[in-house]
Amino acid sequence: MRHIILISCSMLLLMSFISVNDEYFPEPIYPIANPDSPIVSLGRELFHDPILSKDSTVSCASCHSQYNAFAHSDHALSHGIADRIGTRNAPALVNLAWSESFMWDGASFSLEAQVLTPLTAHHEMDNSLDTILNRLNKHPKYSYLVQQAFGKSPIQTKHVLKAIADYESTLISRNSRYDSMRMHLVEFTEQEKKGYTLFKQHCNRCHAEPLFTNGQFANNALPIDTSLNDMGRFRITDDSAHIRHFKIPTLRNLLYSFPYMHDGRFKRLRDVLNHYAKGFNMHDETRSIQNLIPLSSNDITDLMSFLHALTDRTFIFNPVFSQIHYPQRNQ
Amino acid sequence: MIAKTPVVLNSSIVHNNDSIIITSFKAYIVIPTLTDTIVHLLDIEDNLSCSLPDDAESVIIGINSMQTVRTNFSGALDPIHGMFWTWNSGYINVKIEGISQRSMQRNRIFQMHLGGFTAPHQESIPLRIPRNTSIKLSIDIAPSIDALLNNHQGTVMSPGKDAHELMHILQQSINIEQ
Repeated sequence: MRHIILISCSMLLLMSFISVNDEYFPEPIYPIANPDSPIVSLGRELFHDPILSKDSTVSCASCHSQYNAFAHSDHALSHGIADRIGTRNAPALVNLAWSESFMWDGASFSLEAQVLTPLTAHHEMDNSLDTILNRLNKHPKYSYLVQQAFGKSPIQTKHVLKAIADYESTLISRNSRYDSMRMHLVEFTEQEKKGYTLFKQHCNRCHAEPLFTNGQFANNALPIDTSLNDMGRFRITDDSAHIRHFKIPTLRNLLYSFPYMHDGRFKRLRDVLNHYAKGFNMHDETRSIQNLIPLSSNDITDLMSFLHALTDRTFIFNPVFSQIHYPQRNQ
Repeated sequence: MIAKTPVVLNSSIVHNNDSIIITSFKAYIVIPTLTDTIVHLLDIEDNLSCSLPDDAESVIIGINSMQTVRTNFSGALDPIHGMFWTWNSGYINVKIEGISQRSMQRNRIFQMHLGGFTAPHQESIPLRIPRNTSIKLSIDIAPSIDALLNNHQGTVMSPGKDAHELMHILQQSINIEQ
């Protein structure tokens, strides 16, 4: 009996310790699903299965691969079926449970709603919900998984959306060196400290800690790509104040989520920092960012050292998020 | 109806020296009651009538903001019905599609997708109705089609001031009969 009490006490102490040190993280907006739940298992399977695309060649994971922090590094713009190229860089799927809107332009109001876009967009999976449901309902694996997850079949639209959304809600990254520093488990190097100070001076307003985004939209003065002529959030709100405003992305795991910006124009992190450091002229609607961020070459190196500390390898390589590989049956 | 002619799917109606063919008409009807909110999707290809609870005092054409963000994507609100914008979340409250020689679009098609759930473009039409009786809603879609063809080259498919204008014209063209 004494032994059991002792273990219980230890666990209580440990839980208390984690709780206290996690206080720097805000409460999520979206409920985070249990990673062990059958619904998440179904979502995980769907996320990695090209069956969702019109010609069964492209899955969600094709553009949001785990080893790229659930972004994509091969192309500046997303790559759909039949080698179709989209108009925007595939964003990293991380800490989505803390988001109020989704997509570069905030088009989707919920995690479930955002699932619909890639399924049906011409440049992405170009499929119809009818076709997807027919395929899934004929597939023994999905009949089983849906029964496990929802206790009923056939699979319906709401099941597909809920399962993928729940899976995506579990893609949480909060175990970087930065997080360890916040939990007083490690101390930053001198260079990281300098970079952190520069970050708080110049970047934190938009890329706010600890999510490294404030969830808002901004025009960061990139010269417009006339081949895309992307008006950003303006397309959604019809408000001229939002012309060329795009979602401020998280900086977590950005070493893995290159290329950068909504159109993937920068392959290297240093190019991004140079864009902000060289200054720019804002002649249009927004004044979100309009001044030169005075960064020397040494400053940029220090800042990059800090940004490296946002890498969470336990997230990038966590098998809980990965595709499940079932053993092949002998025919 | 187009003018005073009842619309028949895929049949030609002469209007304004033009031959108009309606290929799709769908609209959301929301019925708030004391205990519930009932959502119907009326579709000219399927059914243009729905049951009305005795205590209903109003019907609304269109899905409002709260219903949109709280949708469970099932039943009438399943995106499989083609009434949910996937590039821009939200339901299409009224969808009218057809063919007109006045359309500037490919193959002379016209497309009117009206909706919007966020300010300032929240588009729905509330209608007061009498209790305890059946009602017949007649909508003359000719004025809105004329506006679509004359002012918008035959296509409006996103929330905004154009959709608002057309929704307003539709609202002016509704007649309620017992």
